[in-house]
Amino acid sequence: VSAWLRARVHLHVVLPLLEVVARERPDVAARLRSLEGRVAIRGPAGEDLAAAIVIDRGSVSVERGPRALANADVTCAFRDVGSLDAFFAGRPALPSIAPLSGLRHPVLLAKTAWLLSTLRVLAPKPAEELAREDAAARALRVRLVLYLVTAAISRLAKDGFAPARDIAEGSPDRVYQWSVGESDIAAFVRVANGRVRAGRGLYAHRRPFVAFAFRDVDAAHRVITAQASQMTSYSEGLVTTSGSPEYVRKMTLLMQKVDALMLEA
Amino acid sequence: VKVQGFTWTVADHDLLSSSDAWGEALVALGREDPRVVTVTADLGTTTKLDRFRHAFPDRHFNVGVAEQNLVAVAAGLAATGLVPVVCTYATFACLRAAEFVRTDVAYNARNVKIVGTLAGVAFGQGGPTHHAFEDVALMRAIPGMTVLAPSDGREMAAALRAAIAHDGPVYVRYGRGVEEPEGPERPFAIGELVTLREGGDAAVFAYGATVSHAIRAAERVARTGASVRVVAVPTLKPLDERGIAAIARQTRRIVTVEDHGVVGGLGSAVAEVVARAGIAAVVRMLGHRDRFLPAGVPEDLMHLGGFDEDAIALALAELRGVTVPTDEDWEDGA
Repeated sequence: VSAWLRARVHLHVVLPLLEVVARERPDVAARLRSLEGRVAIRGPAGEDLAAAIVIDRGSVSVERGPRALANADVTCAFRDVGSLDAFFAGRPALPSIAPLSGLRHPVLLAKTAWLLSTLRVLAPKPAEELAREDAAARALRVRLVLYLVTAAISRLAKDGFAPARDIAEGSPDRVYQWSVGESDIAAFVRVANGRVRAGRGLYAHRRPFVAFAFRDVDAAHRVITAQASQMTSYSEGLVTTSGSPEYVRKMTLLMQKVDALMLEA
Repeated sequence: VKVQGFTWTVADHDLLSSSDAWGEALVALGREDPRVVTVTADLGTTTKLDRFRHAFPDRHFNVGVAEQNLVAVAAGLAATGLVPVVCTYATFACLRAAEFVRTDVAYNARNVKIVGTLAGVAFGQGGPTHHAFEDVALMRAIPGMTVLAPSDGREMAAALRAAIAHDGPVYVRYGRGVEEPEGPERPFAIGELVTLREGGDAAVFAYGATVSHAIRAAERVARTGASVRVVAVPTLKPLDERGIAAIARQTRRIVTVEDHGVVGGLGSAVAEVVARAGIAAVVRMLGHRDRFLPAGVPEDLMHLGGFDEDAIALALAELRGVTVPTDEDWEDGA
């Protein structure tokens, strides 16, 4: 079950971050400028594991669900959930690719693999490497992590991950908001009576029930890369929270559980 | 005011900056006025009186877990000319010690300031034994008692200053210590209403933790085109009856909201004003109904009890559909 949940997060939450990477990094868009194509990724039959990366002359979009498999130029198929999970976790697990399609679109395949590798921006790094990240890289990491965390919570709740479901079941209409200083980096999770939704930006229709406000991009970067401990994050004002302290704690614990689930891979 | 913590609960009051404000204010008042002393029933840390104890060890008294004694001792201290500030959980100050408040303090007109913390469901996890939803009704009913209900730590500090400046018994109702301040910092004047948001279609009267909920609900309703006035009522007694009547005449649609029973609380008080003045207005009263709420997180209990942002927004939406006769013209026609 954990592998399936992770695979769903990878296809529904992590892959769509490629759209953000292509939008935020001009070098990525430039490298894909002359390319068009659709690369589908699917898990074993009946597991509802399907997505497609669509490259259209510099822009990238990700479609999710079985319909995304139609008209793919290249389809990467995983024979079981475990191998799909392992592939995204960076362990040796290669998909099978219909030989003919691979031969017909070698450039598309190679550039898609390279595009996927750009998500390594999310990977943990030693402190000295983190210190070398420039402002744009730090902002991108922060943006991606906030989008990832919120969307993963929503995806996992929808897919039945109990700790994520708990925060939505029977809940009044509540918004959990993350924001970063004066930047446009923000994301939220909205829950109401068992329903859950993640979104980017500031939720406009009501004030947050709980808000996590990072002081600025650098502060957020320090917190999410664990360069600042939880206590330091608060005592130095890198992040402030407002709203119900109990639910601040619940959401914090949920984030830790999601983190643990993803690291099981 | 932001919570400076991550995993703390209501028991960790030292880490909640909003409630720090009044603990600091009390120390400052102690410096200014040597008559100020504090009395606790073994809740010095959680009620912030320990700060005063550290600053003025010979002006602080701990009577042990004995709330009736707490109030009686304070009345005695006041009889000598001191200004005792008594602080314990609202439910203990007003229910367990009720007769002592009435007879020793109010009947004798002793200059005692009773601070009831964790009022309403602010200590929701403590269950019904620690929920205080009758305190305002009781204190309002006692002759000579002034009843204040600030909505956040900042206003609490100002209210405490006003209470000590006032000659006579005062009950100050305080919540949890994490309430979000609304509006700019303002001086506290006993008996004054505070309009936090202008509007003419309806008015919400609130105090304590519900003030922020009222503002949020008004913001939401505003998106549907309605303008809602939000009025904080930090003084429940003496009530600004004239001000309430004027607002009732202007808006005709009123919602009262409180983390307190609708019997004897702000809802009752506003309804009394409207009825006495003969104003044609609809009054919806949100608050504790005739039941005990279970143990739980305060925000959840406020939702369950029907006195949170959602309940206010719903009441406002319902009121928009109500036709209210507005003819208040009593001049004889020509």
